Amino acid sequence: MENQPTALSTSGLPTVPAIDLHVYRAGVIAGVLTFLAFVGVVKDIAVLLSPGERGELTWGFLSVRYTSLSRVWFGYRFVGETAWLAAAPHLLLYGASMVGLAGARRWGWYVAFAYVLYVPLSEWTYKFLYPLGYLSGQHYPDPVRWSEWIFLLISFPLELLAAWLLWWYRDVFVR
Amino acid sequence: MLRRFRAGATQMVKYSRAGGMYQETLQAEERAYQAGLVAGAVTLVALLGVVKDLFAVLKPSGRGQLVFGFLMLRYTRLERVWFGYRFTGKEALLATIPHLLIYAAVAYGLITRRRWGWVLTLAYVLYIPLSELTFAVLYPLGYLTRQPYAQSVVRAEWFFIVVSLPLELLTVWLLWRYRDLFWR
Repeated sequence: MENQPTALSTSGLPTVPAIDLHVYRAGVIAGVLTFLAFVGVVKDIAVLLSPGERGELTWGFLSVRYTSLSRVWFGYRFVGETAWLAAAPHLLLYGASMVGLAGARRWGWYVAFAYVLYVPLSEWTYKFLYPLGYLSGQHYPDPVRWSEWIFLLISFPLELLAAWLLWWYRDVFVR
Repeated sequence: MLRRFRAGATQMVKYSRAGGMYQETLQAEERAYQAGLVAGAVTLVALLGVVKDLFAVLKPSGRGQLVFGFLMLRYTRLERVWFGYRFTGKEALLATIPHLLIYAAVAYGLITRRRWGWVLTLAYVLYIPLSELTFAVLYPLGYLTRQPYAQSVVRAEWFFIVVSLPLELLTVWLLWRYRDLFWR
């Protein structure tokens, strides 16, 4: 019962669903994605500040891995200085998603939704190009390929869930 | 942000635009969204905690790390800190279970916007710095063990506390600010 909408006013006007659980839940989804985007911003700032390096940022039980040695865009892996430069648009996307979702902006929703759809596309393309060897002509060793499949099998449903939830709550952002 | 909600509020609520009620409703929606943002961020951390502690309990090795994209979770059931006191061995394994339950309850309670979820989250976020400070005094400074850690480790511990304490207090403040969303 505690989640039922309550009235703002008893002045005789029609009862207003003051605290809409729908809006709250949209905020929860945005909060999850905003936090992830924030972590991505921290990671990519570390990348830009550490050209030619890789490392970890540890915070309690949570660590963030970063590397400026390779960067994947649309499944294609950049290396070297190109990889370092390719971190900049990633950083901008994460930053835009963070600001846009935190501010409930329409463009923030579009950026986040497009990026969440792009991620599995890039992951699957990468999987075929490199671990399965369609681009490099040399597939990865079996244990690496298996771990890549496991990663995809876990991450793909989560990414589709995120896209579905953003779509479900789109009315809060795209009005 | 209020303007964002003003732009299309008619899709969500049916009422007259005349009078102050419209403005109040927009503000209420904005607060609901912002409360959701805070809850979402805390929920993600709690869910990661659930995953971490599930692995700590179920993995035979008892410790390790989970890599997922750029995120990495460290887990161990070989030691566990509660109220600043470090448990080891089987006690640590048993002490992992309440941690797991609290993380799961926080995630469920915040997603479903329960009053008890808010109380539990606030209490736990207040408890964290208390436990961290107690741990720093008992172990790195050596008040319990009488063997202080190396200076570099002590400095790293204080650095961790100095950075994490404001974040924990910020979370407490945000939870307190939006308490009316949960206390109804």
